[in-house]
Amino acid sequence: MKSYYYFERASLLAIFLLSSVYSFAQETDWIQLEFGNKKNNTESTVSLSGLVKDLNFDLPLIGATVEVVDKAIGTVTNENGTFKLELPTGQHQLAISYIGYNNMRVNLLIYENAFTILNLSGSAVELEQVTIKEQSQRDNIESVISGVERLDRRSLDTKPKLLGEVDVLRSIQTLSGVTSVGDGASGFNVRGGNADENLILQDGALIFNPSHTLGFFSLFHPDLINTVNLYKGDQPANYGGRLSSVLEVNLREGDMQNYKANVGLGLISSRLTLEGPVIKDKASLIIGGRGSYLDWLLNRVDDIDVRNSSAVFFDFTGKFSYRITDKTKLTITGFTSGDEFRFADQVNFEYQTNTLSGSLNQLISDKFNVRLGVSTGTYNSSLFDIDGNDISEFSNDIGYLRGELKALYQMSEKQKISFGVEGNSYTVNPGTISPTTEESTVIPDQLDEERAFAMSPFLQYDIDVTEKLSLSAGLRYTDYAINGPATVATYEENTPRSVTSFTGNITFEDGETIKKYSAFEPRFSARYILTESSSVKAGFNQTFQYLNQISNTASATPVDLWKLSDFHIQPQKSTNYFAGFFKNFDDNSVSSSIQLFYRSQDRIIEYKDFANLLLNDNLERELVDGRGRSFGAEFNYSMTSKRNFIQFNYTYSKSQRLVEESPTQESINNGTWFNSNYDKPHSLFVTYTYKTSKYGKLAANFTYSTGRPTTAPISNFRVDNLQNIPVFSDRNQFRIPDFHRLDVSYTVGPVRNKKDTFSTEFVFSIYNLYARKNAFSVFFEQRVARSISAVRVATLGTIFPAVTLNFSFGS
Amino acid sequence: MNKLVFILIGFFASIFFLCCVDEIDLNIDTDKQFVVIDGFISDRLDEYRVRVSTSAVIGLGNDNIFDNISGASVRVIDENGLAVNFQELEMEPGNYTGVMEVDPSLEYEVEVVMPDGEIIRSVPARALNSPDIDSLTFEVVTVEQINSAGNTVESDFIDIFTNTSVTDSEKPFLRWRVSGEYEFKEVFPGALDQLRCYVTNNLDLNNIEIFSTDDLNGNVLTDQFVIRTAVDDRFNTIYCFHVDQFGISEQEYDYWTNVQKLVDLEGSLFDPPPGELKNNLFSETNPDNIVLGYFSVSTVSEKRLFIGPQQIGYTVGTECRSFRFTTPRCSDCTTILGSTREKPPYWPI
Repeated sequence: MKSYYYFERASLLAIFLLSSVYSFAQETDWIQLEFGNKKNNTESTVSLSGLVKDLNFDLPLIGATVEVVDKAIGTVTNENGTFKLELPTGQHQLAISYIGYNNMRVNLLIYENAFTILNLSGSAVELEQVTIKEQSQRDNIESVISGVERLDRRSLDTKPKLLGEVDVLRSIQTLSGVTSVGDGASGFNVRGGNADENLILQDGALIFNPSHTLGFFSLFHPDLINTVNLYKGDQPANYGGRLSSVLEVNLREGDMQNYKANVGLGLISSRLTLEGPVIKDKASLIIGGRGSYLDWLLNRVDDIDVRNSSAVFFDFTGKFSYRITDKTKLTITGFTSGDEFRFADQVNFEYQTNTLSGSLNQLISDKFNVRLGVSTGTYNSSLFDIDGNDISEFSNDIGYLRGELKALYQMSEKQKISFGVEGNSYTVNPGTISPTTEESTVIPDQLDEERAFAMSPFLQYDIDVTEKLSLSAGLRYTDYAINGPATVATYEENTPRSVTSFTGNITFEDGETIKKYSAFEPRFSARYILTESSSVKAGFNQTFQYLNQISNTASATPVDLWKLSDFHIQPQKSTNYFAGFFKNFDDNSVSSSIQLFYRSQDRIIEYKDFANLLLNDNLERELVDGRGRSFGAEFNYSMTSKRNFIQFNYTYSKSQRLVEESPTQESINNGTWFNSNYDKPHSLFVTYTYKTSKYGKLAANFTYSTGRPTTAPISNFRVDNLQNIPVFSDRNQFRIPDFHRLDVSYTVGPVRNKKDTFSTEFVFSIYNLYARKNAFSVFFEQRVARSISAVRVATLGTIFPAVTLNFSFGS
Repeated sequence: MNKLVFILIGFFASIFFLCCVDEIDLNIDTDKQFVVIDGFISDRLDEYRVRVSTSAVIGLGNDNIFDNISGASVRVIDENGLAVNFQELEMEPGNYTGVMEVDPSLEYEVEVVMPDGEIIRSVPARALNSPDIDSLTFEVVTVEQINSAGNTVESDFIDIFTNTSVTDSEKPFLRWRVSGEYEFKEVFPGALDQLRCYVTNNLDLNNIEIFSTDDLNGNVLTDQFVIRTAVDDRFNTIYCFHVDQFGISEQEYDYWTNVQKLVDLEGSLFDPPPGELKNNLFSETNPDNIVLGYFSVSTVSEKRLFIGPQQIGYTVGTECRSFRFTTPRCSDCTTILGSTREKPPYWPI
């Protein structure tokens, strides 16, 4: 205990030396609000709803934090800039904050239900860390949408800063119902779905691979994040095209008044953020970049394999915001990133993401808002064969253009409607191979490009039927067409697609429609408030997916190819049911929930045994139609006090697949249900954060999940002139060892200097404290004079400490 | 200090990659053994062999122990019910042979009655056409290898290629089996005419060569690799490559393709999960029992290629050149496995 004390003191001393004398200097606007009076009051609890706006420009502020300081509860404003809080009658103090604006403090006297408009003025003061509690303690009771997880900068701040920074992907993997295949996996899995079933948006731009460096870092710059929403149950009707979830990352705007800089220096990577006004109070720019520099470290290692390895990434994000008039705002976000990973002469791949998105918000009136969003982007990946005579590059890429026009109309305090249309144009290059040396024996080849267009009008209607019952209903219709030029193979009817059943090709001209699919996607959810601190919610929705990641490896990899639904491959379909009971205790300082879900999926893409996926002109011959089902129960508990934050998430779930025999396909596992690659029945996540002092924060994570399924050799035979042919079990019959890991981090700071122009923060983290060798991948290897054996690859399968210093400049 | 920092940083960097590739036990029940039926017949009148065995149990100490099954009854039956009985070889338990030829217009199946009464059959199949081999060609290639002492050495090999024409209407799946035969001259002091042996040679152990002519661009399969073998004293007189080209079904092509994938399994991060080998055998009495192996019915076209020192350009040194230091085979070549003094009728003078 004593050594811990000295450690904290020493850390503080180091920071104070960097930042001179520390103190808080916080500009705060104070106002007084009164609603009703004590004499007429009959209720013990009332609701306060409101709209948070920019004082000068009348624009709603989305994601602003509204906290009831004395009750340690809070919420964030929704997409209309509105919020709603349930409060005991009497006197309270509200704190309203938004990045780049002055904090507002409200002395509130409330005895009746009320609505208010709160106008924030521009500022440059960093948010005061009033409390380390999660934002939406009350939201879990109030929100109509079930299965939505909201994270903002403050709630992300409660997570351990592993490898020196808070990471969006690692943070959402701590939520119930969200898993990953293991350490080092790309992407994440929601309620038993594939990684490609998540719609990932950064400021409206599609992200196809959210991971850097095998998933140890996410693509999203932590200093630029404003809010993160994960819709794992219900999805608002304006989102579509993916079966499982929507991950919406909203970046913050640059400061409109002052220039600022943030620097994070780490062992593996560093980051820089600069922001400031372009035109004071009208336009701002924020830019951020990150880069890793593991290579120059690897070059100093004796082992030749490590010396010939590489793991580098960079990303660069910029966001320009312009308040054109007091009712019109324009934002433009650009993003580029690149990754290279190579391990000796065994594995080498690269991938890049580029996006550009813009949105124009027009406030027609206090109740009517229109948003036009346009985005475009590309994702391309390359897998290199770097050994032998076949030295070559296999690449595939996807590009898109997306436009969305959305209108929001607040019909009354209890009703709102949103509607609009979204259009998506996709271009996919499913594969190109080219030799990379003159000596290579590889013959260049390229598969035909695929093009498709989807148009989706949508309508969403939300109503508070009574004070306790709220309904949310949405409808989305998608009209999808894949277009030529293309050559499509045809096959005999009622026979499996194969060389033998091939009957000929149909040629489609440029722009000619090859196949059209259309579908309605209904969404519905309801919430009923049982008591002041408890509610039940239920709903269902139907989703379709037209863009598929083709991969039959256990884990999605950055080089998996993308494939559009086409003449043979129909869109995948999912019907999702969910229900939940939400209960808070102790003035919302403790929140808990039990959520149940059931998903039924049709036309799920499954793979024949030994499917050949790379550079295959007739990919449809390797695929089979399957059905899927996932069900589970998610238990959440979180407790917040002044110094402590505890979060406990446990999920029991099953995720299974069925491929039955039919005239057109063979069965898998004799047509019986089998576990999907992502079936992890038990999943537990525990976080504990302890504020050791005004500046010190100790955090620990423990995570456990059942080992994922695998197909393993069960016997060995010889046939003809061949020896040692392994016999594999039914698909996914066995499991790899369970996954568990403990991480800790200690953060000191941020400590500001006297003039509040400079602050520093020191983060020390230990990843995998007890050096568990969790398997990222288990594969099977033929050994000389022995039968086949299972080999485990564990990335970061040992204790991994990291130190990062974060600096912030600017007032 | 700087050095210490670099060592620490290097350590962290290396564990990021290195620390953890190791063998694990997946706690798999290893008691399972399956019946394996393995054999083929073709339209060439010949003696064919069907092997009946069990798969080996996986696990330390059990590796590669295959049990041959004696006492089974093996018959090949055509669609008219005519059967050829295969007899078990006394010296090779579990191996059953029969002489026959396939009529391409009829379907054939193998029937194996196990000692315990279980009846295993193959799905009846008709032999598919194999186009004629136009020609065989060869190439001597020099390959760098690491010898037992760990040094890199260069060795010469002979690669054999086939050239085959197919028609537009037929896009067959092909499999090649290659056997070798060479003439061996004994070293006998004072002999004017050295005694000779003709030795048959199994070449394609643990190797399978197949091709789908659907992948062919055009109608001629040119320089399709079928076998590689080392240049050694087998080529000092004359060596004959026998290349048999079988027309097989798409299902059989897929089977051998996947078998080769399993044999070549090296393991990597991006390995697709392997799967079940779909074959044409089933247990009639216990449909849930898995039967491994394949019974192939095909047509065959064949071609020979003779290669001697003249074609290679040199003669390989051998211990039989010296009278003093010879091995038994040098003075009595009938001691070589698979040898005979009877000259094959197709052998060049």
